[in-house]
Amino acid sequence: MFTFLHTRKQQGKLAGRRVLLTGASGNIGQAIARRLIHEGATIALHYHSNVEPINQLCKLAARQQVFPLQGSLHTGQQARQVFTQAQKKLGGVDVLINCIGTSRDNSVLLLNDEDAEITLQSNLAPVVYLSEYMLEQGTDIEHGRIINITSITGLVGQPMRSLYGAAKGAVIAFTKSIARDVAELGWTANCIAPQVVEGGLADQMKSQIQTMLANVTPIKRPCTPDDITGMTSYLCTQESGYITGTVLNISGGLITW
Amino acid sequence: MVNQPHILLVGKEDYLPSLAELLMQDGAKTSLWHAADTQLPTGHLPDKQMESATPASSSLEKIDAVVFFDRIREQRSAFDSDAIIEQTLSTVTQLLTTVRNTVTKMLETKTPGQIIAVCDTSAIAGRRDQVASATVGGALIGMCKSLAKELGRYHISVNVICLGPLSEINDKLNLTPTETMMLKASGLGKPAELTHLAKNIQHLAQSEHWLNGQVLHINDGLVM
Repeated sequence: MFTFLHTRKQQGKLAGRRVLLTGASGNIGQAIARRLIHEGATIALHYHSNVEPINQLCKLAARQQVFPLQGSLHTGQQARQVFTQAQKKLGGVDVLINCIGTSRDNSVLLLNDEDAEITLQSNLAPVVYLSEYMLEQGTDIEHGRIINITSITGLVGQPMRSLYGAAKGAVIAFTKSIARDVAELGWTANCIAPQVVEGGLADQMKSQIQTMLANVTPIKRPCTPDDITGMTSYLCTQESGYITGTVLNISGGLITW
Repeated sequence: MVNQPHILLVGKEDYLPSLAELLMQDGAKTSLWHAADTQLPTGHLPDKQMESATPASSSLEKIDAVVFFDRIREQRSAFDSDAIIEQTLSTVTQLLTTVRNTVTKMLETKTPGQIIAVCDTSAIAGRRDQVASATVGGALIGMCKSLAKELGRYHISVNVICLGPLSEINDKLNLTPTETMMLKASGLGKPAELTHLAKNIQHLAQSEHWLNGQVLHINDGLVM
């Protein structure tokens, strides 16, 4: 029985795919992790400090299917450490999913340089650094995938969120550019831009604004973390190999352009 | 309509003084603001105010439009993570400072205003050899759309110009042979002249356009 469990191979459409998921302890990260575990991926679950959700995720997975990975991603050195550890645990990273970020929301008249630095360091820097290290693997990786979870704020803006809009807009443009770089390796790079998602940063918004947003959305309900997992899972697969350089908005019809 | 708009140009591009001249020929009053760590452009600019290190806005009676430039493509490195992040942060903080200063001025003088950011055309679709330019431009676009939604209540519009190659600075894209062939066949993608940029800025500065939160591509159809 023990031997059977130890040597059982993952099943599911992502069996054999090795994923580094950053921000796995966040609401969206946890949902993506659950989906990828179910689909049979082998995952390095990155987190910064909140280990409890990671422990829960580990209980869902088979042995040797998930590996907790703690670390900061704000500097190149920190990000490299995390990526190297992921490579060692997984034997290589086929799929990089960036699901991290924070927001300093306020009127532009009240924001300062420190707010800008924190917002860009937490949203843009990890994406850029980890993409660079992902690319260094080169042809060792077939069907590589870079998936950046951004936000509709980067596409269409939101009041009082100018720095978050800047950071997510930067991630979108960066992803479109490197999609052209990774194409020659047979990889893809895409963004997923969800509407404001229940839990997480949405909790910082006033409830009346959340209600207003849900009311103007054709599918009249807030976006949930689980709404994002299907597309994320699909983009990890080989069959998504002709989708690249895109921004897939998951907004319930709020943005139709 | 603002017939003689007061336009504040903010940036380090060498062609800004020439651009200011063109705007003034069309009746605008212009001022230039350069960050403290850049050299002032050479050449005398009569009847203009040049400020360095301190906001030029403090010396203007009013500001109808501020145009923020960040498009020094030739200085961008191809894929240097630290440079990409640093340049994006630098641009974002400079725009933040610019907007704070000028919006304060606009609100003080109760002037409907225009904020225009100029970035590289690579921001909208990405470009293989311009990762840094694209990232910086993407940040400007994302930020300006949020600003448009925030500042609309104060009658301040915010738009972005994505600028393709400029002939005055011998600006060239590194096109592949296939891209060159396609553009030659279509006749599109010709470099803009400074007058084209000036006309668009003049149009946006005069507030009759009713554009807000938009991205205008001045690149002769290079990106559609």
